[in-house]
Amino acid sequence: MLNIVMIALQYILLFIICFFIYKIMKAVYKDLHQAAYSSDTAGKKAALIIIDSYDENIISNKINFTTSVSIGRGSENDIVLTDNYVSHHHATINAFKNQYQLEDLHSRNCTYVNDEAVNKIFLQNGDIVKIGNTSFRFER
Amino acid sequence: MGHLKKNVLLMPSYMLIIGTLIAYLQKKTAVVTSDIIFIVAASFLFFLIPWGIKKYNKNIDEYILSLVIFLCSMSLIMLLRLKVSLFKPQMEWIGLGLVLMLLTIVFSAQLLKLLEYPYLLGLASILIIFLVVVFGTEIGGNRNWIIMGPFQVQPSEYAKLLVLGFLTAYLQENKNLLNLPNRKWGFLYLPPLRFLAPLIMIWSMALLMFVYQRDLGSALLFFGMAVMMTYVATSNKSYMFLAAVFFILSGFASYMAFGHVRVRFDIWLNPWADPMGKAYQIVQSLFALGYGGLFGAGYWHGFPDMIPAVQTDFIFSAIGEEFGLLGVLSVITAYLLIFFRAMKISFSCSDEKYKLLSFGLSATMLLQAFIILAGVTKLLPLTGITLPFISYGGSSMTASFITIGLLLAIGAKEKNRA
Repeated sequence: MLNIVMIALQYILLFIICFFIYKIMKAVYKDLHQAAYSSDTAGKKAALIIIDSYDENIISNKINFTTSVSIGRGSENDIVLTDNYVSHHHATINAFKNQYQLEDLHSRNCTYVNDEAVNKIFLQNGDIVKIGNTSFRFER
Repeated sequence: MGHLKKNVLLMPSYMLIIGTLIAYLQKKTAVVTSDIIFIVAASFLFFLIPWGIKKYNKNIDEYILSLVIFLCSMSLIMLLRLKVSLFKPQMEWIGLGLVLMLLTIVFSAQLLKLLEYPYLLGLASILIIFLVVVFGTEIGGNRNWIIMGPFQVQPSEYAKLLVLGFLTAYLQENKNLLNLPNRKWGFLYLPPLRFLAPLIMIWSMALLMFVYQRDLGSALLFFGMAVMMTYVATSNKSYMFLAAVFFILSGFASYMAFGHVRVRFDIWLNPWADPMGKAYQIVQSLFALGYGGLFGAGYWHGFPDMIPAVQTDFIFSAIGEEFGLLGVLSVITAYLLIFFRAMKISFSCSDEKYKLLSFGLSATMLLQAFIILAGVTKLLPLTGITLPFISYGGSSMTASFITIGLLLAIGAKEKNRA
């Protein structure tokens, strides 16, 4: 009888040790997960600043956005660039979780981030996005 | 109250109570009434401290604190099993450590001001280690103890904190100078020697004194600490290369020069040459870990008493024997999670000094745990240092609690600002 109690107690002790660590890990993971996926829009503010363009009038314009912005030659885009090197629907920037993702929409002349042609990329603060003859600085 | 529920915080207390119950059933004389009062007090304290601190300041990282409490209760139940006479002193040290941790959190602003005076911190650490060289007493083969009346203090544990403070302050102030690559030897980019000199001076003096005291574990820890901090501050790989070269050279030199280094190295390479003599400790440790298996022999059902110094350096082997792979993984995960949370604090710091300091504190704790775990599992040659929060020892316990106090204070400060 005593032996059974002992064995049970020993397994309970081991179980408590493992269970405690498991619970803590889960809590830490939840904490991290919550921080990454928190949907508060307070932290979501981004801007594109035009630093170089075919049209001198729009240089140093600042375009603020929170969720998404589309760039192209067509008039239905948020940012319209009437430049022959820009495709009709050239690129979009979308808020994705806590980051901003730039997606090239198979444009003829590509989208360049920091002088590299990209397809899909998460933008960092200070990245230079080049579309046609126009350069933007991404800020958030 | 975050993601941690109250019943999770209660678990370390349950561990203590079940441990005592098993001890009582196994050997009725093992637990006397005064011990039971201590255990009840401890289990209340272990629940109340994280809960109370969280109530007092909600910015304090609850995960680090509850993991530390878990490691402490692991230490207590292991000591209850290994050497019951050390149980009460360890409990007192944990109590003192908790008080010191609270004081560190309360007076953190004043303590962190000390970072403005790097040379003061550096000289103080040298002085402390020098005192050991002069007044030190040899206990257990290491000449790194100072006996002050009833207390035996191991000052290197505190010198560690001071050296960390010095490295933080010095590296942060001179980061740009150290990154100036105006000397180029081959593929190495190094700044002029005069910028590196204070760093090398203080650090090598500390290292030499440890080698003189035969305290190789602390020497290795200080070395790793300085390399990590320098690399993190400057992100210059040349320092890493130099450190590796220096490490190989000095390792070779000390193998040639010191008999005890040669013995340690040889028993690491082949413990079976002399399993009953010089390699007895490491061989017994390996047997203990092997006997543990996946689920362990069961608390109080192994034979960890066979290992010499099991309550300090080799306590991990006892855990491995009695709780098996699962218990060992839990302990390692606890250290990793503490490091992870501390890195999160470090990333959130806006002040570069605090960033470096919190990285240094947590990385040093992880490195210390790694060195001793690698030693007892024969991954690296054995160098005797304590396992933070689990090994028996007052200096190690209080110094680790001060470390955690600083980490929590920095974390609370940054969260408060955000």
